Amino acid sequence: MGDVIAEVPPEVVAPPREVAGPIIPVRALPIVAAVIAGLVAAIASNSLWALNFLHVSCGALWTAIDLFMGFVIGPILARMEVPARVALTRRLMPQMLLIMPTLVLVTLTTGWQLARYFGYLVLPYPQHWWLVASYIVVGVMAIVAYGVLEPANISVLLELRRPRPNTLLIGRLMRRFVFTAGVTGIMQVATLVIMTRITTW
Amino acid sequence: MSRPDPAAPEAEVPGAGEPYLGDTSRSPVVGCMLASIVCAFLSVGIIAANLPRPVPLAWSVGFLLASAALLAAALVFLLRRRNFAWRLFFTVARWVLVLTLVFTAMAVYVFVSDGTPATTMAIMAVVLLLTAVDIPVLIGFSVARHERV
Repeated sequence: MGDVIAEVPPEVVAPPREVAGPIIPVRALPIVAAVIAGLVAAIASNSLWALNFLHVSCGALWTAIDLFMGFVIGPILARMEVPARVALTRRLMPQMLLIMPTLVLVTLTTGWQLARYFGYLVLPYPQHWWLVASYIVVGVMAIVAYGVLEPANISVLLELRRPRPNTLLIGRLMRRFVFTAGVTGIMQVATLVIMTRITTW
Repeated sequence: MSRPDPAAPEAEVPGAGEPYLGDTSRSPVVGCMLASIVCAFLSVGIIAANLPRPVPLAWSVGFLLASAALLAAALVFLLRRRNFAWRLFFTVARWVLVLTLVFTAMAVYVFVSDGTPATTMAIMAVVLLLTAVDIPVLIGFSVARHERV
């Protein structure tokens, strides 16, 4: 996310009142439930097409969104006017809190099932190292997400809902995205390398 | 930027009246939670890297125990904190727990449906449950620590 809304002057952002209600867009929860139901159905039926469709579509979205947010939207946001940055962040982040976990859940689960389906899990080493590498990549991304990205996301969203957000705190928290964008970008490129290698054996 | 003693049970807000930049101390809670999550991932990773072949469980059990010990240590550090925004902590942790339980349930469903052996499955289920607790505590703490009470 680049250095989004870093260095925000305190006097610029001051919404008139505290925002109430849930952070995440509750109306989208049925869509998430439907996707998870589809995931369960795909695993239960062991349908190659369904598993492949879910893995490729959700995996592509996950990688593309991560790279797009980190290296395209992030730098653009950093150059925008401060009120515009805050307004976009306030609308974008709640959506991301629902979209990304859903994509990750579907991609990882169907990926494991596809590896089992095609017999990749029983491949001997050194080929098996490619699978182990994919586990390491997922682990690093999860630690970055849970340890840095999500706490900062939620803290910023909560701060933006206050009558007078602490913009210095927001700026400090948002600077973490510089670090996470780099690590996540490298991990996503590694994912592309690993997945394209595995599927061309 | 001044950094209070990391071993202190409570992070002080330096310089009353200065702009508040959140809790900038190096918290042992975060350190223990991250280490616990890493150990849990290693435990699951070792199992996943071997399945469906027989899994050497010693390393997985070792990392599982280390993860549990680190979680316990983190909870002790957390409970020793004074002036902590517990309400915000539980509000955030509760919703993250829902998310992690969905992930855990799906993982257990997949491994059960794949016919994972009972002993391996039991260890994996415990590790996944540990992770399902680790992550909400970590995120809840990381958010609530910046709240001034």
